[in-house]
Amino acid sequence: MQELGFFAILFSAVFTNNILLTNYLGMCSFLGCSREIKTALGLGSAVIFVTAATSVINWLVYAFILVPLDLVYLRFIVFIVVIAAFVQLVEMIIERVSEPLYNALGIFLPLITVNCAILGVSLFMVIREYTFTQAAGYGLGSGAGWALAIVAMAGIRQRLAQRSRIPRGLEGPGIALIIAGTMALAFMGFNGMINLN
Amino acid sequence: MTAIRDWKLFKENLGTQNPVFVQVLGICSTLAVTNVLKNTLVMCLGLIFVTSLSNLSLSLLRAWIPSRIRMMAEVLIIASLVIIVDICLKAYYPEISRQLGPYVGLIITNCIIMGRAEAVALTSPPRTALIDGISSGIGYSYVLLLIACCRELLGTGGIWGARLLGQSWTNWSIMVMAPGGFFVLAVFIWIVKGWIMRPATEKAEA
Amino acid sequence: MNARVKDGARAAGFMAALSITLITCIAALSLATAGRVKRNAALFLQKAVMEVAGETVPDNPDAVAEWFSASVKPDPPESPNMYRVYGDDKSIPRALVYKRDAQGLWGSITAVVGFDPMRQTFLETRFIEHNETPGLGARISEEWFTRQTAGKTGPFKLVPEGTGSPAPTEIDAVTGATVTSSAVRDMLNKLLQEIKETQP
Repeated sequence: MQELGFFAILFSAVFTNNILLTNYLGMCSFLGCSREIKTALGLGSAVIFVTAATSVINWLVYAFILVPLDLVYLRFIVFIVVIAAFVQLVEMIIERVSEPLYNALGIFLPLITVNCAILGVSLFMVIREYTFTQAAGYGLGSGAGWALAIVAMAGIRQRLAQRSRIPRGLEGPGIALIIAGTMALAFMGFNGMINLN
Repeated sequence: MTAIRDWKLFKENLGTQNPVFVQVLGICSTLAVTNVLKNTLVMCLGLIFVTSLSNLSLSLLRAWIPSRIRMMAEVLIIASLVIIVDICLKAYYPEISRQLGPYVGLIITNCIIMGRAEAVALTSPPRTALIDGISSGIGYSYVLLLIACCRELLGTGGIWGARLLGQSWTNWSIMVMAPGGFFVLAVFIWIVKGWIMRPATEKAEA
Repeated sequence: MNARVKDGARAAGFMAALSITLITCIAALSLATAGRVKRNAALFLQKAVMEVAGETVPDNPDAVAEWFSASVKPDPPESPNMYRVYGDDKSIPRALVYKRDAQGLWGSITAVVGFDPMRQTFLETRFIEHNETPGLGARISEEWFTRQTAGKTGPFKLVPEGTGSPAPTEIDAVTGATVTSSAVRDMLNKLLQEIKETQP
């Protein structure tokens, strides 16, 4: 059985095993920031960037620091600190370098530290014993999958807000969850597009 | 006097201020394991342990935490508590630890814990913080346990591994898969908001 | 300026003190339970081998370890991938238990697969490690699934869950977990192939 390559993992993380729609990770900001496509797009791009970068950094930290020093049990702390520090750093850099970029992405960055999807990617990648390229593909793919889901969701919600009558009890998070469920069903249609064997 | 106030806080966190229904917070890490009741129970116990202790310890430390780095301090304390849960599970309940895999670690990013720490622990005395932690943990847990019951019953025809619905029952596999979780939670929110909470809000408006 | 530096130093000092305290606590707890965790891992394998060989597993972990050292011969002794299980008669094994890996949906699945000493029919199967989805792929650990290889000859093909086929070349798949089920099937068939090739 051959190992999965970079693109196979990337593809399956976006479509067949979307981290949001199959693992429910990153739900809080998914429900909170999906009313408008513009916001969703900004948050989505920030997540892609941070997930891809932190999965690579965390892989390196894990393989070259935690494993040799036998400190694997500290991985939760180390991963979350790496993520928080990275987000803070990026925020500072963007703020100094480019004003428009900061306005587009910067405001979403503080939301990201507590986004479970990002920590989730780091934890899954370690448990599944991915190699470096696989981890990079998984990080990038998961971020992209999350962004795809939130943008699609925002599109649907915008349309829905314009022309549908929603039962009172379902307004807000209720209908969002139903849409997410339907999207998860639709994404299950991608199963089998990629042959893992 | 304080006892009455504590009881009120406790009730609010279970009912009208329930974190899952009102704020739809923190469902990420646990919703994924609600297709099996036993795993959900373990996750919920872990979560109650972490929220109550993180609230307590942050409240005790609140006078000394410099406000600039309070997020980092919160994350550090929460992550440590989660590691303790993980180590204990590994040592004493290896079977369950194996099934939950990475989800135990994801308790760290559960928004409820951070939210409670920010909103209550840093402003209240230890006693209130502890009660708030325990009650929001319980309020969260009972909702997820109900969801887990529902999903496991419909998806596998039984609860806790014991078969309850006769042989003629066809399992709704979709319930144990991802979309089932979304639908069950949405229906729960609908029921609570539509029938249980609405009379209360209407009374308040009138 | 001076106040800012002092403030920063205080924050850094606080974080350092907090991290050191917490990490010390965790390290102590981890060291205290390390032996237990390691023993648990070994016990998983020993129990699985015992179950596959058809023994009843005692509740006492020490009894399992004792049985394992008395009646099982790992092959090769360092990093074994096969275990010969002996009964009272120490000259011929009464079961052969193979340890094999498969690539599941979420990473590797480690299984132990039993064979009768003549290498003709399978015994039961146990999964000692996997990362499959709870409620879906993880159901390969359920008893109905692990028991169904017993007495069959293979090579296997999958039939839908609930068929309960007695045919010697069929096993039920787990509904909703096609990748996991196929991975298990392929692992069993590959092992069978391997055994047939090495057998004179």
